[in-house]
Amino acid sequence: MVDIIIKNGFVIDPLNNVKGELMDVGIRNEKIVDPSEVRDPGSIVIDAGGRLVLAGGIDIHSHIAGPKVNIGRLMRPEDHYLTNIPSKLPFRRAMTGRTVPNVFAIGYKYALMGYTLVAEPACTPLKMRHAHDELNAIPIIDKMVFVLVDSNWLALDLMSEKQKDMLKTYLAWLLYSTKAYALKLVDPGSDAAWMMGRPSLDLNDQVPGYNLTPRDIIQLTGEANEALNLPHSIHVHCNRLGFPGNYITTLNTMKLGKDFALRNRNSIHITHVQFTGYGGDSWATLESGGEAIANELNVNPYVTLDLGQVTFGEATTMTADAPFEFVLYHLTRWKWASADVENETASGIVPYRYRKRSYVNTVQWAIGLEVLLLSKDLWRVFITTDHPNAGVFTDYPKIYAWIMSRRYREETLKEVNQSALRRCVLPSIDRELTLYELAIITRSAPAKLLGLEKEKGHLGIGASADIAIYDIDPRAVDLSRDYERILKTFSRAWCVIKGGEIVVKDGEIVQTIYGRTYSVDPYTAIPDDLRREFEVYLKDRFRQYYTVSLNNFIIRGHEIKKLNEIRLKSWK
Amino acid sequence: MSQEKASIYAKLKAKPSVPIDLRSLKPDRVAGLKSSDIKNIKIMEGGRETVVEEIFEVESPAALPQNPENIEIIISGDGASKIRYLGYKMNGGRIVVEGNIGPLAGYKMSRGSIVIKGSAGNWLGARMKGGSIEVFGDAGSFIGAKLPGEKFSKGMKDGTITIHGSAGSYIGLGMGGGTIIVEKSAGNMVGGYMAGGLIIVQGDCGDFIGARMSGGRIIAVGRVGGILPSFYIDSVVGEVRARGRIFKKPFALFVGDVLTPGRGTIAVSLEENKTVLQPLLKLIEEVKVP
Repeated sequence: MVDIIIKNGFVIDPLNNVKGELMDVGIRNEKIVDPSEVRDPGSIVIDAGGRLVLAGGIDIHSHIAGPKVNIGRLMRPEDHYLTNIPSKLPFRRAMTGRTVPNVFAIGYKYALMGYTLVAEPACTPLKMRHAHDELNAIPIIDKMVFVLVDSNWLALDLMSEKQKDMLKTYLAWLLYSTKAYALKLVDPGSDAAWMMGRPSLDLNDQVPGYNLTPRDIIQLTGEANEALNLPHSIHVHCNRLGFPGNYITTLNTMKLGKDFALRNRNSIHITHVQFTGYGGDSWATLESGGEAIANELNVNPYVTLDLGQVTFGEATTMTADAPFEFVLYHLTRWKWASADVENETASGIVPYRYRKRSYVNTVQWAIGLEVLLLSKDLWRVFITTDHPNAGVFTDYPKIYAWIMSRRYREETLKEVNQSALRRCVLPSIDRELTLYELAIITRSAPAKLLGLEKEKGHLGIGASADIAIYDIDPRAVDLSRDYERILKTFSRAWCVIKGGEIVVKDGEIVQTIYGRTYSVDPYTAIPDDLRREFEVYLKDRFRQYYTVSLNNFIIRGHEIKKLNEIRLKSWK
Repeated sequence: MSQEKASIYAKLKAKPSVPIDLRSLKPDRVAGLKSSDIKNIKIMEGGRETVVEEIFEVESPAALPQNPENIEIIISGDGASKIRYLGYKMNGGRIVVEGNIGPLAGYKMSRGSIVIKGSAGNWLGARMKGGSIEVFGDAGSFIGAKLPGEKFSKGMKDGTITIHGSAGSYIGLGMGGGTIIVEKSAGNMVGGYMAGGLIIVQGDCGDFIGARMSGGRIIAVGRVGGILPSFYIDSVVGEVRARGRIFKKPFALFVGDVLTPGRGTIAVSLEENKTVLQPLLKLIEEVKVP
């Protein structure tokens, strides 16, 4: 691998407190080194010439792999018509699809935007082998997958029996055996209810068949997550998602974070908060709850949020929240896929189109931006579109422009539904984010949230050589006025370096490489006697519940192309 | 600006072995170009990008008129059935094919005309918005249809497709307007999911005629495979007229499909379909006003 040196880059690196300086960055053996070390004539010199240099972007919530993405591809052939971009071998392979693109398009389009690490946020344990096979096929980016535990019968049994140590051991074993990175709760308990033909649950409803409420599920999983010292906090998709008036439930869920926090950091991540920030009591009287959520975020240090920002246009909603998709299908009346995974979860897929003229869609659009613009601590709020639920990930530059330029916001405010705006505070917000703040919410803060701040999300010595260079000189351009420049610059990076290899040059893919898959192994750290007791318990229960054998369930390290397993040591 | 008609002759040099994507060779694309520019229009041969000159022998006037209405493209040669996307999003002018043509000809076209002297492939005039297509041979399936996965009203919106031979199945699937005329027979599912427009089949039809139709009109002049039970019989008429064509024989009119619930009509010839219609005819006799 040849050494690379980037000269005269305008570097913004919030984790190292670099607020925009002309600097050199040296790269050797997939790592960032002191530029003075890279001096031999064999190295590649990239003259950035004052262009913006950032660490590679990190997307913490984007549905890019797994069975529901694949079923989305199957049920939406119209999403792929006339989208084929032929291959340019040997540099890149063919791309197709808009909201549910093929694996190559996902990797390349993320790389073109300067993103180098993406998390697939929900996959059920039984289908995890499929998810890993798809992740293996996604080029360039690093990836990780979160495992669904909210309606898992084995977990619910242990929770209702209040066997806390066994629950911790089970969750640790589950992460280890599915090579997942974090625990995901989707509408806790609702899928267990859905599979028995019941509607979705609120925070304090009884989960049918168990002596539990969704509140207990979040509480117990959160405790286990903190005790296992997992790098990411629990990733929660709140109850009553998608129903008017659900922001109360979201606020109550956010408050739970305080109860199980053990470490000196946030303990609960509320995901795609736009879908759970609705005020009002019906679709006709829908209001924005964005302000209330932002206020709670500002006073509650245990919470982090991501937006699930609506970007207007075609989308495919896909979630493990099957009861909500059932409701959405009856609103759209077009097509619906629903699947139950034995004793683990259920899921649904419904295509949807967000329209600017729609009252509801305008309120949804406003909520996301309100939460971001009203939050005081940008280290705890992240940009996502919950791809492909609220918009496609290639629309991220639009979100950057909305938050960085009041002028662009006003342009859009003119086009959207005007009666909806009267129920939102967005038109009165003047705030414009700077490039430094953008670097925080897309690079540094996500790395910190995922517990990878040592190697990802910054350009200090020892970090992975994931670098995005954008064709813009921040000293010469006023981005808040020139929003077209934001849209153009951030949709095509000038140069992207991934793992010490140049993958994008002048907005074109020049090389196909494969990134790593991150996973955690908290199971090895658990005391031997507890593990022995657990394995006896598991063998019995597993045979009782599952149609597969335990040996076939566990995913081995060799099944994953480039596994980066983080072995955790501490156990409380 | 000259008002003279200009013709471009494109003849296949050799019989192609892979599909050729000819979407960029259309009158409104070549309008105002020089003849050397036409030869260098990029097209796809299989997965490989190439230029028109590589595959076709092109004869054209030195400079073409600005108005696409005055331009005619004539495609000939052995193996033209490998050509697809002919006249894609075409907006004026005329394309003539001296032989067979492959699938997706006239896809999304909005103006102009396509004349095919031989047979046409599947998805002829799919999602068409206007203009006319005339086929002297047979045509494949999914004529004037929507593509799989799309909403039901996304099929042909306007324009005319005339087929002098017979056609395959799924004619006018999800059609929202326009006219399809088949002078010989058609396959199954004529006018399935149809929301508007007119289909005339002068020969025989297959099964499931008008399944799930919510609007529009189908005229079956020959035999039909059967009438779905979700249609109810309305009346018997002595003749049927549509688009200047008069069919002077008794027809039974059906309204449906009640599953959608729709207001589409099907006219089915009485003489050819006596066995199918006999039990239904009794129903209208009972309610006949004296």
